[in-house]
Amino acid sequence: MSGIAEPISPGQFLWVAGISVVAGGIYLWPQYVISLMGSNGVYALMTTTLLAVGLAMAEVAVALNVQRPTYLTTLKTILPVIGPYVLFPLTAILCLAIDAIVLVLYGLMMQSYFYPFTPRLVIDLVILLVAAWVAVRTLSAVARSVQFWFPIILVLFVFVTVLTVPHIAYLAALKPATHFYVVPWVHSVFATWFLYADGSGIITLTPHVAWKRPRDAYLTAALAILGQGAVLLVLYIVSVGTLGPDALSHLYWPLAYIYSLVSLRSFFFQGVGAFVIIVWTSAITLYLAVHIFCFGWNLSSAVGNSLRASQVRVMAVGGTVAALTLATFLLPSIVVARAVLFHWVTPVSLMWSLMLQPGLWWRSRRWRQGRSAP
Amino acid sequence: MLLAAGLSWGLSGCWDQLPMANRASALALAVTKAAPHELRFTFYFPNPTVTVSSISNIATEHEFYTSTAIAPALGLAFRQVQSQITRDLYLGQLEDIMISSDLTTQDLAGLINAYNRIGVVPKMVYLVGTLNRRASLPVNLQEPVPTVYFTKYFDCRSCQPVFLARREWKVWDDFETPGVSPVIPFGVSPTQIDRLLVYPHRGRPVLMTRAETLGWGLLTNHVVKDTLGIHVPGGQIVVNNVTDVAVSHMAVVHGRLVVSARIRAIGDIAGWPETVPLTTATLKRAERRTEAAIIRDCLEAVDFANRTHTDPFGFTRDYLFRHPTQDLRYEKSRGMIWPITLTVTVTAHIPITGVTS
Repeated sequence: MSGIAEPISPGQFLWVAGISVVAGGIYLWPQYVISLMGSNGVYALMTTTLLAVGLAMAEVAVALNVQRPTYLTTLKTILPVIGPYVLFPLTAILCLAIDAIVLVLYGLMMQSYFYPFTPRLVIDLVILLVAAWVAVRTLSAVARSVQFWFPIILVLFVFVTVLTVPHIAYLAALKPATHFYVVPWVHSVFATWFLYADGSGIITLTPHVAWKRPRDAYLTAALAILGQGAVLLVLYIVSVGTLGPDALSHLYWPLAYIYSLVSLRSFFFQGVGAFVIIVWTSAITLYLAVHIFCFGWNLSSAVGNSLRASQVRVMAVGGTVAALTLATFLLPSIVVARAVLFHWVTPVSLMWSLMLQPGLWWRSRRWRQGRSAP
Repeated sequence: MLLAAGLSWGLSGCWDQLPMANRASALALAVTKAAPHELRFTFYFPNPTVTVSSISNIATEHEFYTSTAIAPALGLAFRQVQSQITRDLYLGQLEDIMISSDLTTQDLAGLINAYNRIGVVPKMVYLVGTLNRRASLPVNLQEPVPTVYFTKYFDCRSCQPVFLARREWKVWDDFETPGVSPVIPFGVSPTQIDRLLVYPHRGRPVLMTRAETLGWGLLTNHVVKDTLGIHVPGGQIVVNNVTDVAVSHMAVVHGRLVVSARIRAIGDIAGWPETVPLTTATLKRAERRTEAAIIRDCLEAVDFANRTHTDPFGFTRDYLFRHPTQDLRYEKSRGMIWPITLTVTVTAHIPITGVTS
């Protein structure tokens, strides 16, 4: 194995898998679901979470069946031609597109709330540089960074969220409505899947964990996703309970609005804005770092475990940063970026995952059975 | 090291901030009607020459200086006022907006929408209704500059018999949510705030009476510590520290919103007539009389709603949250509020304090 791949512990895997989903786009939640589904938004949340768990299970199964260092080499093993030259590039492009738009929207939100006179590019580039700085290091260094920061992020998240609880007034809006409509439900599942797009992190990292039993791999991945689903559920309750579905659907950044309502006149600081910036910025930075790390590692594994591989990896990270920066130029406004994310990239990404993952799982089983047969 | 330095510089956002000395930070804003399509906006700034030592010498009318603009919308008023003052007009410290009661619902909705759209202004400001054309900031000895009377009063939950404080985001929320009529407290010059101004779908707001406001508070769990006076043959029983918990269920029957509310109230005996013996039986009777008084207030509040075609309680909203099929019919005439039929069950409890008459 190459130098970047000393194994990590299951606990580190839990944190890394957790940060690779939801953490990036959390600030967009839950406006779009509510604008489509109203009080029934929780059904879409449950559906996307269960889909994410199911697809993660398939990813873990593929990784455990094939036992190759990266996603790319896994694909190369079970589908020698179509895997590395068709499936991997398509998956990578979709992941990068989601990451780029999430980052662009984050920059736009930061600009409109906190840095009105700072160029958007500065905000995006600073986040990307920190993410790349983490991503060029070894697997255990990335895992340790995430393991250190993610609990701090969660503690701060709990702190600022608890302060918003007194504003919850609309318990009636939290109960599901008496009628259920299928079309908005499907639509919102296909529009908010981007939260759970993990940048192939789980399938890439599963073989590098010192699992005691294979079962632990499934449980840990499921726990990571369900934990992030719980974060989304808490934020759903806070935002719908505070503003109700009608007002909520008028806000692009409902959570930024709700956190801005917290006022602590008796405390030594007035609002919680600073904490919210810390939570979101460090979350999106680590999210991008894990995604860029996995992408760079996958690319470098194409050329083997040589000195060249690490050069390829640094180049891949640099190229990703450049591509994401370019994307911030291509998406001029919030409206365009949201439309591209919700109507195009995310639905295509979910369709792609739903087609690809079960197929890969079936193929990897066949491959393992073929090998174990005499 | 270089990276860390670069980052802290890049994200400091220093160029996004101005020193406080270069800012004129308005603490309150009064809006009155100037002409059919024009509003008068008066911004109140704390007088910067006031210091801790001079505060007792300064006349109350000099504690704040004002700047006024007449404009059809908040944004235009902002520009006018900015051209009058030497510092950057800043609303980040705004605490109260005073709304004159001759502003119509459409005026208020436009104002709130404009205010809510500006990204960096605080959404936590209090809204308070004032008399026509006399929206002025109450300045009195209780609260010297730079504290504002209304802010201090509304911040103090236990200062308000019925909790009437309404923040801007809540009123915006009411405007955006179908099935609720926005309400704001109404302050009679300056220090009596015990009634609500209710905004119907269109036109001028309607003022509730004190009893209707109390009924509203009882039905919506806003009563903090009210006092009830009950006439009995021997004199008057006074029950104070009245609070309640109300749970309501809604159904639409034949075009009427049927609300069944269950109220559990609790209060203390504060006054008892000398001639009436204080026994368990008379206390029970006092409890029944308290229940009757609460029911009367609730029914009066619902009568007010039916008379003015409003729903200040948000009963319709709570119903619509769970029955979105009604939205379509509702959206066609957003102002439509079903007439309310209230069935209210009240249980009042007066604990025995141990002091006999």
